[in-house]
Amino acid sequence: MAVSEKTMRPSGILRWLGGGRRGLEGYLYVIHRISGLALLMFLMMHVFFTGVRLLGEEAWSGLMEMANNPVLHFLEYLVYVAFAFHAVNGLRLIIIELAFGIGPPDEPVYPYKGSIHKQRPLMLIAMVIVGILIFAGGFDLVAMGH
Amino acid sequence: MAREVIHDVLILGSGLAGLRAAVEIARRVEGADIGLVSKVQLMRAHSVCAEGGTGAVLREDLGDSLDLHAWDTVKGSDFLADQDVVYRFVEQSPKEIHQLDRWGLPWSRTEDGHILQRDFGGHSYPRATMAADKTGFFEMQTLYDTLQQHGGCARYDEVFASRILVNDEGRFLGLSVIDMASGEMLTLRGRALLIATGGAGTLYGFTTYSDTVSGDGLAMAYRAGLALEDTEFIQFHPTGLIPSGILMTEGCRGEGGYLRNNQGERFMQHYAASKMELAPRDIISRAMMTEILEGRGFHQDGELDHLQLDMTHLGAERIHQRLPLIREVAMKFIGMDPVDTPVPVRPVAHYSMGGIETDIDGACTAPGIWAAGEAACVSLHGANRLGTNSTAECLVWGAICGEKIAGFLGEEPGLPDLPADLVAAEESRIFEGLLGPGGSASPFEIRHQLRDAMDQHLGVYRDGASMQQGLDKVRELKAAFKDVQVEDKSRVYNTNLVRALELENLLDLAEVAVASALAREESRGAHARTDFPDRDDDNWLKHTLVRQAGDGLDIRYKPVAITHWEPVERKY
Amino acid sequence: MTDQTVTFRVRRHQPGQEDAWQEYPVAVHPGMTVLDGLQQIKEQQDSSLAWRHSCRMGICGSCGMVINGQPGLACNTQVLDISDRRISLEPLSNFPVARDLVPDLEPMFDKHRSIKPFLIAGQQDGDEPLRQSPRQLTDYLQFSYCIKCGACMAACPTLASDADFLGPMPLTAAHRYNRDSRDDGFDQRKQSLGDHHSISHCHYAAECSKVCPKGVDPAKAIQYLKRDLVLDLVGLRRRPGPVPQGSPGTPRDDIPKAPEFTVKKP
Repeated sequence: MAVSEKTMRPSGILRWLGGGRRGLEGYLYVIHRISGLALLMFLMMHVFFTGVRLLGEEAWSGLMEMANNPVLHFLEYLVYVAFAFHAVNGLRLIIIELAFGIGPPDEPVYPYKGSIHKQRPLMLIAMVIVGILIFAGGFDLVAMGH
Repeated sequence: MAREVIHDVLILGSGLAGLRAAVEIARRVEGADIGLVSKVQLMRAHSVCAEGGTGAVLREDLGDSLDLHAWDTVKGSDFLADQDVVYRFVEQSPKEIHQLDRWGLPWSRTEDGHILQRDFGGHSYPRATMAADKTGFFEMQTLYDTLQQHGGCARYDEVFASRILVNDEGRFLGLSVIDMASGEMLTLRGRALLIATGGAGTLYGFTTYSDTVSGDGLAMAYRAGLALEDTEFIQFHPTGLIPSGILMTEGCRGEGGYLRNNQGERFMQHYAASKMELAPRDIISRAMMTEILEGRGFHQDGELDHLQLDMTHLGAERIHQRLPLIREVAMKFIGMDPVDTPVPVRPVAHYSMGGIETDIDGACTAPGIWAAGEAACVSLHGANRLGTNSTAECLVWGAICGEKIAGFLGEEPGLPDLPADLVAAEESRIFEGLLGPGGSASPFEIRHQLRDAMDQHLGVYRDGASMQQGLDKVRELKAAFKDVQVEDKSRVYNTNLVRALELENLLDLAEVAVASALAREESRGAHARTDFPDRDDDNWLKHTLVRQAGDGLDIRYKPVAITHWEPVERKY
Repeated sequence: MTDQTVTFRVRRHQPGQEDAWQEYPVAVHPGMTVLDGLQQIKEQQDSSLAWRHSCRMGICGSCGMVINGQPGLACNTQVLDISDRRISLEPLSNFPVARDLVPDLEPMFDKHRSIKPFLIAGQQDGDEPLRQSPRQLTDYLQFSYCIKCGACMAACPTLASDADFLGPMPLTAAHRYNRDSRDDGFDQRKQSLGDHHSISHCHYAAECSKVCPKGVDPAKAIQYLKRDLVLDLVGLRRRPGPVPQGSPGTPRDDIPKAPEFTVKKP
């Protein structure tokens, strides 16, 4: 017989993740938007911290001293990762949004294979490039030690 | 007391006929105030399931003619169609096709841009005007979309009408409806009503009809004192997919598909040698039942015996282009690809030739009420409908009724007074009767029994003794319904209540159909009696009319309009 | 045929109450759809369970719901194809819920209406035949397969965070009419496509195309629509190819004539 328990529906941005199972492109969409937000926040912080120079030479070098630690280097690396993803995936989106790589309109034949399948190679290439960039950046971080 | 809303005209039903009429009224009457009432959301009506095509003469330059379409229809009807109505129909239908073209319907095309047509059963020319195998769906979409550009149409989506209110003279007053979203009861007033609620196919267990088709308009009209005409003629489509009954369009055979028995033989050569698989539906359905009854069907435990619809010789490209929905459905529901596997089919309840009695303009005998589409019996289909003529009928009489109603509104008819006790009685019937406490009979159980009884006693072949048993059973179930229990007492979206009200309608219609069939002592079109195997023009070339008379039925007859061709022997 | 028991986990919703998950054991046989399962629950266990359904063949668009986390049609989904133990059913996300598995789809219908989803042409009336080539038809046909079930709207992540976003279904309908060779409405439609809750807010998650039960591929339509808008901006948008010139066909000689009338006209 019926069993019941109380529950809530996720709302807003939570539904990006809680809205059900997504496809690869769906997760890329979520990462793209989150990385975009992250980059925007970084940019604002960057402008703010750069503005510290206005307070004089001393304040600036103090800040630089403080910034020179592994945690912040790692955070910087994350900014780089977000940038690499957002830039390359953004280029991919620009290509698709002008309707390249998704094929001409056609009579769909069941089982339906849509534009996602047609443009998937492009997506894979973009992700390989992102991977290479992230790896290269990580190598730089570890090997060069700064 | 129920809230009252007034419109100029109420359209009950949002299928092809209802939408076509709504568009017609909207474009003819500036600022017309239309109330479009439907128990489903717009675009969900059963018309979307029409597949094969719409019958119209488009290529007189290639050999088709209006006379030929008329003759095919009359012969297909086993001479029970009113021939003046048939002519009205064949003249109007091509105009509807071109009108829909201008409203954006994606008709399939020939290389030089003409609208594509294909062969269909009983037609002497390939005049099934097609939009792949989703013709009804695209017609609905086009009309729905076109309606979006007209203001003035108040939508009552998911509003279940429970009673047609008429005064003592039979003049239309309004509708009692239940808004399913809120559970509130409303009284919709209007000067005119168009009933376009479709047929009554869910009377049967094995049927092509959508779950929501329950003949509500027919039953309400019947209870409001209107006559139901020719309801004994129920069409069995030859090719319903096993086990669900989902329709495999006649277009499968129009494109060249074969029907085979378990010997691998194209058995139609024994029944209609000249037309083969493209004979009219009643003939093929009888042939199939004969094959099955004589043991030449396929048998599988736990399933109905069936025959095979073989399209494997048509080739993938033809099927992809012209029968994509059929292929999709076969693959999704039974995991078979018709490109390389024959699909299992058997005759399935598909269409009610009968309906509310109307004149040639779709007007009912009660002033202010029109009916169109499958709900109406304008007497186009007689004893057996030809494929493609139903969507065409919906369009043609949707437009005609729309035009007539627009004219009627132009005369500025008054709105007669509505006696308060009519509405109060209906409210108490629903809220105290059905939603009140008490009751013990399960509506689901009654519905199952009704469907079993109809499958068993009013099928492709009928006989007097069996129909009498069926009638007794239906009356027993009607009595049982008086004690029905609606378990769900909630007001919001109470589907339990709606199913119960639908069941009540189906029970009334079942009684009318079985009683009409029992009374007609001949075989004609879809009404095939083993105890009266021949057509009897001397005694039975007439339409059945059934009215409610107290607790019983009043069965009368009226003559057929024979204006062009005298009946002759019907052979294919 | 052997039956096996599958647990249906349904998200129930009653107005004014908190949602609750409710579980029903259902006897399932091969070929049985989610819709059949729901029907069985209603008849045998809980008659108060509400959902929409009608055609049961995947063409009316009534029974859209979230099945095991993915929007789809209940009638179109066979239980044993997705699980032999349990399946979860929820109302379509991104819509208000009326009751149980019944979403309120009005917002979608309103948005659909706002993009002028009808043929805008100089000559709407008249019964002279028009012409359209099969190629011109293919240009938009795929996008006219939409059954308005709302699955794409429920899957769209942009709609999840921006309720005013037009969404895949209305945008696809806009493109469908834009690309029709019989239509002249591009300029009128682009007004309603311009604001920031509209097409520029789609970032190609392609979830809509993934879940569409009819192969409409809204993501594709939206990208075409974007291209058309960009091309229009720089004056390079082209109308769909030329209308074909019909050839006079060859009359068929195998068509019989209707028999002579046998009733004398008065």
